[in-house]
Amino acid sequence: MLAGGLPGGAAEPSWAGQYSLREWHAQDGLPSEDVTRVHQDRAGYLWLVTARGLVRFDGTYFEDFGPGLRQAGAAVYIRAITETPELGVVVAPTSGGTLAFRDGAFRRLDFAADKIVNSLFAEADGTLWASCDDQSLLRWQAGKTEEFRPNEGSPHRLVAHFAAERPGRMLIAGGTMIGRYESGRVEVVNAEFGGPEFRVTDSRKGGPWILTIDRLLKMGEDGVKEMATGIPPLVGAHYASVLHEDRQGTLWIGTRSQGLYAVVDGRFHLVPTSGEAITGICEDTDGGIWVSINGGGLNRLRRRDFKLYDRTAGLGDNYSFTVSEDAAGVVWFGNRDGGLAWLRDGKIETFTNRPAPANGSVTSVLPDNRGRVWVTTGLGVLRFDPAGAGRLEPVAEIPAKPAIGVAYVARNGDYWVGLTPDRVGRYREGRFETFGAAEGFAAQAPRVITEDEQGGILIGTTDGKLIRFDGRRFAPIPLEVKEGEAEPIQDIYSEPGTGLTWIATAGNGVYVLGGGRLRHIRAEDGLIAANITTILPDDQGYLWFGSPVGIFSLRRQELADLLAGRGARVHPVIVGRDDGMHGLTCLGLYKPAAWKGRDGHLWFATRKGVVNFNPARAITDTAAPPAVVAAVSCDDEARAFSAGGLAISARVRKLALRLSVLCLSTPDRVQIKYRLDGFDSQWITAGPDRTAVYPRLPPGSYHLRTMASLGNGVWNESNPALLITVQPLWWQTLWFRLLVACALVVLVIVVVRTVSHRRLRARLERLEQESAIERERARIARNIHDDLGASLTRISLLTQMGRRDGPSAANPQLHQIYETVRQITRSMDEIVWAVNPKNDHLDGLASYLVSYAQSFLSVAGIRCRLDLPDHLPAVALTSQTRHNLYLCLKEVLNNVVKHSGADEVTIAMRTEGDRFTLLITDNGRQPARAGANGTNGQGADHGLRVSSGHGLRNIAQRVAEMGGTHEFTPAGDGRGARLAINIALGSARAKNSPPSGLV
Amino acid sequence: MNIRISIVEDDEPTRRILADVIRSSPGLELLSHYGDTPQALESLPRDKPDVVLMDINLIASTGVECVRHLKPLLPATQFLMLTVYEDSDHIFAALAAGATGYLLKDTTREELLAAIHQITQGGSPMSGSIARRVVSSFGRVPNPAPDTGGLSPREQSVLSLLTKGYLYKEIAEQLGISVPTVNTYIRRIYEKLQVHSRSQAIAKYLKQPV
Repeated sequence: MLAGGLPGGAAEPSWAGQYSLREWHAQDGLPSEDVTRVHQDRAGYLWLVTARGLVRFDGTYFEDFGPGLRQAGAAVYIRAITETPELGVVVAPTSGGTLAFRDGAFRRLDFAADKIVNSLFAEADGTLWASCDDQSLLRWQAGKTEEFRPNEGSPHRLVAHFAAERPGRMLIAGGTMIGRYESGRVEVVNAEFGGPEFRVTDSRKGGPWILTIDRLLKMGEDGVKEMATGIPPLVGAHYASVLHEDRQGTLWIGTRSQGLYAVVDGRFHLVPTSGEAITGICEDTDGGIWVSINGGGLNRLRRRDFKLYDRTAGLGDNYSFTVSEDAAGVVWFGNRDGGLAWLRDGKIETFTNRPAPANGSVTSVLPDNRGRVWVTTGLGVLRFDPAGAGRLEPVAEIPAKPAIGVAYVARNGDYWVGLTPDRVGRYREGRFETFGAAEGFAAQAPRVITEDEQGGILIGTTDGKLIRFDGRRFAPIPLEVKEGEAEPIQDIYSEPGTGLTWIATAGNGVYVLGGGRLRHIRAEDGLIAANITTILPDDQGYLWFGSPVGIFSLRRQELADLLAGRGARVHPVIVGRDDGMHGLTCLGLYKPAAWKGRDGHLWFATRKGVVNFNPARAITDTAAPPAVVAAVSCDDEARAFSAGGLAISARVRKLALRLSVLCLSTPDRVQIKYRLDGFDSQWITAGPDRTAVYPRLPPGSYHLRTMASLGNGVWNESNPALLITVQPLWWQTLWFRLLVACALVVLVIVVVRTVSHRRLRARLERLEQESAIERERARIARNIHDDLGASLTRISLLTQMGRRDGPSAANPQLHQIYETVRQITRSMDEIVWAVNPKNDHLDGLASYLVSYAQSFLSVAGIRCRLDLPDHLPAVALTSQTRHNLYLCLKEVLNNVVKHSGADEVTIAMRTEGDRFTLLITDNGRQPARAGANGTNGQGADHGLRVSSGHGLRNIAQRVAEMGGTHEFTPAGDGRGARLAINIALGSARAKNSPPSGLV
Repeated sequence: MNIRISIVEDDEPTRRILADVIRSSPGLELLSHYGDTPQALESLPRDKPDVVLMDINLIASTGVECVRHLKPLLPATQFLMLTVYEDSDHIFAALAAGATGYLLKDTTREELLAAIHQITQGGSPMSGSIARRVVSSFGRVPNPAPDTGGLSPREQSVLSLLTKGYLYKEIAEQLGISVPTVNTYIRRIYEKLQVHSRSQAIAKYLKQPV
């Protein structure tokens, strides 16, 4: 056991050292620092009565039961709490009466219903006792209440303490009165125990404990026995507020002002707590002692699984740089300022002949396989040989300069040491040699030296290099770290059997080398820190890591899964507050800083001291209790739910489910994963707030699955999963969607109709406009026809008047007038034809062209042959197209008459689909060469060709205006020429076709 | 015997010039001349002229309408349409209504007189484009019965040559007949066209498919 330590009066504080203390305060979620009662229920939850109401604690979260009490019409302030198998947790509120908590709700009991209860007690058989403000004492069994008034007339308020002597026989201590209940009667028995005040509590054997002002007694079968003497001042009955015997038989006494005492073997031990006004004590199922303190929050005492070797244990300084165990089972400590010490036969001994009087801290203690221990100090290397002189002897061949750092003793007995700033030294059989860049060791000073399975020396350096020495030369092993991101290598663990080398760095987490691959485990993968100082395996399949923020372990299998890509992250178990250890800082400058003892226990050198523990106890193999949904909030408002399921509206934007795992002993190790089937695709690791938060969920059914672990890799999945039903909003329901679909269809119809109506109107307007233009054109045509035409007719007729005697007597001037008028009339005719909208179609065009050709050619004495289809399609043409075609024909016929020498012209028209072709063929001279689209040669003197090329060029231009093509070729039979004009009717069509697109 | 002629022409100077031309021509007798249609419609049935020179575009009602009314009343009278322009639509409409010839107003005096004589001798002018109209008009009836104006094969071949641009003389050569015979065929085609177009109009009126 530990030695030295806490100050104290009559108590022996060293006894308390076997307990670790953990405290919960307001900042941990406790509603008040004033906690007046503590009780663990059969389910395992801890009930706490505080000055701000009743809460239930699962190890992590304090759940307020004020709303539940208010719902039952009771005050939230509780005076007493107990539990029976039949009723569940029973509480007595300050507002009077009693209530029982069962199936998630409080209900009133008909026990002490009209009284204000001061204390409650439940016998093992469920018999309930209460002491009340009106001095009455109530016994309740099988629904029947008996009332006693043994304290009648006492000026003291009756706050009774109860203890069962045996079934059916109770001791009741109420301040200055102590009574015994038996066979339906309560008898005052003050005389048996002496006065004047009493406290009692149950005992597992030997009858109840009775505490008086100055004596601690036990009521045995054979009478009252004195259990202890020398009760410390202010701890006796009047000052003791609560008594509790734990399963070890230790009696715990909580006092109003003197703190907590434990009575073991008749001796009182003061146990440090976070306050002096102890109000309640209970032992949980794991052996933890829970203490409620008025003004001190909640405390828990737990037997330590860890031993700490620090100043109180006998070391000169809390901080030891290095620790190891030699072949004889002696544990060596290299203490910072306390020099070299060992732990032998459970006792710490410091070497009096301090090896390094100044600046000579021990930086390494290393056993070799010949039973010797090598001690490396800042001033040189010493060796201890228990088989020899039994004292430290300097290894003279190793000089103290350059400064000596980390060391290692290889299996072959070689002593290796790192030398500042950039060398490594080896001592072998009396010879010391050093290696630097010239010898192949091109790195800064080593931070760790170790050995692999093949006997190769592995050296990790300050500049982040890993170098292996195979006996002949140094070879660097690349770690693929980016330039400038290299971190010192602080530990190397060459794992036997797997061939893997684990490399801890000061900022890049852990590299794993082996199997031809280099893998990297980063802080984000679950390491609690990127700075890892030590790696140590245990015998239970875990790897232990030291870091500046604490010691943690990882299941080797989980690491293997991570390396194989099967796991997303690892879940470390942190040695910490649950174990009564805070702030265990492991530094990585000296080796060995961690050691596995021959008994399998682990040693870690930390700033606080050297920690020794059994890793098998530090990690429980049991499964965690299931993770249950403890509270639900929708949009940050608490929401009632039952295990049967939770129904929420789709309107909820934020659904928060707080998960609870009942774990009082090691709540910090609890890990929770959850998955919402139907939403999440994989398990999600819950954060410290253990809350699953979901955004707006689409309507439907979901199952929240949860699993919990105590950090040992054993995951316990809750069954069944919580059914969460998201009810659709009215606008998400099927009928509404159908309605919307229908409305959309109607809307589309309306829109389409409106648009098409508008289109129609626009079209009508345009037609109206076109028709107005046509009317205007018709008017112009009629005016020309009627007015000008009539006048010209008169003129031409007048010229005929003086010609009764026949053409021979014609007056030549009159004839000239007649011819002129006739030409004007023809031109007018053309204009009228072109302007008149009633000719705006293909048939009108054909008729006009044919009429024109026939009359023109007959004057020239050239036969005109026509080749027209009987029916031409009723296609509308623009007047421009008509006019262009007419002018083309006119041009061609002029040319034929003037130049071709033909006596016959055939005019043919063809329609094919959308194309219209006008073919003019003559039987005159052939053209010089074939040409198309106006590219025929100039200067040819025969055929259909135009005299100067202008004619055909004009034709080409007109055809181009119509968007058509033309072809000028020799006619087929060796004589004549043919002009083909081809236009698309679509493009030449008058614009009265339906427009495309929306208007 | 003189050819008795009536003129229906709304343009007074033109009418006077035409009247002068007729009067001064031997063998022609100007029976009457009218400036508006109602008067012509009322008087012409009594006048019973041999030839009516009728302006196609009369102001009140078109000459075509006029012909349509008068022709049944004056079956022996030849209506010769006068037009300023060679407007095939109007001309065809007039022919269908009962006219047997047409003449551009800017013809020479000789041509006018020749046309009058020709029409009284059974001649009828028909251009290629008019012929096409006739063909297409008849073509609309699938199996024309002779009594409703179906064309005989001979008439059809004359018409066909006309649509191909052949002149009367060439048709006569082609078919081995005389030019007057061609004229006769044409006149007959006109008459049948008239009957045909009337039955078409009735059919249209009765809303029956033709």
